[in-house]
Amino acid sequence: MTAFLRFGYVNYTPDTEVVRFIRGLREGKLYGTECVGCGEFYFPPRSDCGKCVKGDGMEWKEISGDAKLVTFSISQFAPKGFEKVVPYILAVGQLKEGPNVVAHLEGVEKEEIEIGMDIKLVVKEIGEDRYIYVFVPK
Amino acid sequence: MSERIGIIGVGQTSFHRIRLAKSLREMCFDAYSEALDDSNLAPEDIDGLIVCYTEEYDKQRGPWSPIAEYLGLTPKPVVGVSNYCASSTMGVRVGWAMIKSGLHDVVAVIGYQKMTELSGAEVQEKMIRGGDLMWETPFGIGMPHVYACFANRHMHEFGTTEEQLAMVRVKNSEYGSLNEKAAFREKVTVEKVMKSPVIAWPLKLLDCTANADGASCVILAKEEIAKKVSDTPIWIKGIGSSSETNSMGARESFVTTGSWRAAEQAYKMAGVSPKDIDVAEVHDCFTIAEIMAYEDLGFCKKGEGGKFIEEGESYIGGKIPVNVDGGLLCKGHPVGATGGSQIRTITLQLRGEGYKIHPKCEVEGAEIGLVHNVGGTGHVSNVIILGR
Repeated sequence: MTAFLRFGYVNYTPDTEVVRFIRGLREGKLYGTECVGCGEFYFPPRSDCGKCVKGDGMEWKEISGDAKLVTFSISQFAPKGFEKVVPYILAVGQLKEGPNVVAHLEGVEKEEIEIGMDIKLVVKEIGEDRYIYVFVPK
Repeated sequence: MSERIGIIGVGQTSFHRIRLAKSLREMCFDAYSEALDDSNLAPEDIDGLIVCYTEEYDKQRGPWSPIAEYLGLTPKPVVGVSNYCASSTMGVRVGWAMIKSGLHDVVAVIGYQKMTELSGAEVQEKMIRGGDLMWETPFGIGMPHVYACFANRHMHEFGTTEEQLAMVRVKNSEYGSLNEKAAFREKVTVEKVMKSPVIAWPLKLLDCTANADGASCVILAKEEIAKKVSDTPIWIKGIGSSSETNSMGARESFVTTGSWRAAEQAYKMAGVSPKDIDVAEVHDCFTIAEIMAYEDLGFCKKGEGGKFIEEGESYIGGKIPVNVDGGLLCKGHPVGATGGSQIRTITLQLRGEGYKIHPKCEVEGAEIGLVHNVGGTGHVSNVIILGR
């Protein structure tokens, strides 16, 4: 099995240069990448900088996971392949480090969700050596 | 004055959810034949074909090829255009440039989609693969989820209500119920929308458009020909296009599809402002999308879209009648055909032929109209301003 297939409930991207991200997930850690040339920070990680487009290389940086809820939706239907996961809360959270991230928000009731609330992005094991990241309330 | 590009023929099949005994090439033929008849041109006058679609619903590879043959247009140049739900307005943009460059005189733009061969869950599985396949699709994020995220953020920032969202469907159903080519003819109330099942909260079933089958056709011509064959050519006065990030995480705002950029370009090119628009077709794939469109197109200020529908400003008789043919919500949304259908409606309105949709859908005396067509969740936006 190609290592990046270990990310997600359903995965369509077996081959990537940021496959090392999986190593972090196995240790319960989340890493982004920072452009050596211009300093732009990316999460999820990218192997190339789309800002300066210079190809000076990227450095791996662990993120805190601390975030604030920007927006969300509560899904009551599942596209094919997600029948076992539904219902789920899809959230956009802004990381302390800057980028917005899409992930499920777990461990919270509908009534408790408030845009602007403090949340944390953490690693979740969803099967045998299979991972995803999720937001949980902080 | 520089050479203008005119719309001289429009056609559209009925949009439907019932699976008919009709292949996609036959659907395209119906729309093309209607537009050709409308244009007073002969088949040999068409010197280029643009076919617009999103190919993932088809078994046919390169659908532009069999369609060109079936319409009798081979060996003329044929172009395939695929830009999600904005494919056919992108086809019009490409056709505009093909004529403007002097390469072509008359171009037919066909849009189609045949979606009823697949189940709803299968269609959604294909749609979610239009997002960030590597980092976001693995969470099962689809169109309703993203638009629900827009809606929640809009409600948070501006106090927009679920009832105001529902009012968009109520308006569009008032006109859609009169449109014989619409898939959903039922007139609904706010209460009925609010009580329909939740799809992605806060969006309910009736806040969402639905996949459908259908085809549309727009025939474009250079000025000299347009004036010769038509007493009422409708001119493309402004044409704008913009894109947004593929991933939701990279978006700067969750209260817009970003289509204001395309709108700015189109207004500037046409030399008009929002207050000059007499009638508009906007991309209401979800009720929140129409509310954001009012704002992004400058019909009202950002944040006041909820009030705009609540005060009836987008009904005939209001400030700017919007989607008075039923919109995507009631016509249904065969994605590649939708932009062409919007252009057909505005073309008829500006010719004084809005009665062809229904006499009660006609905006009398309309001189300038606007089409707003969005692909994905803003991944591509086209705004086209048309005038008499």
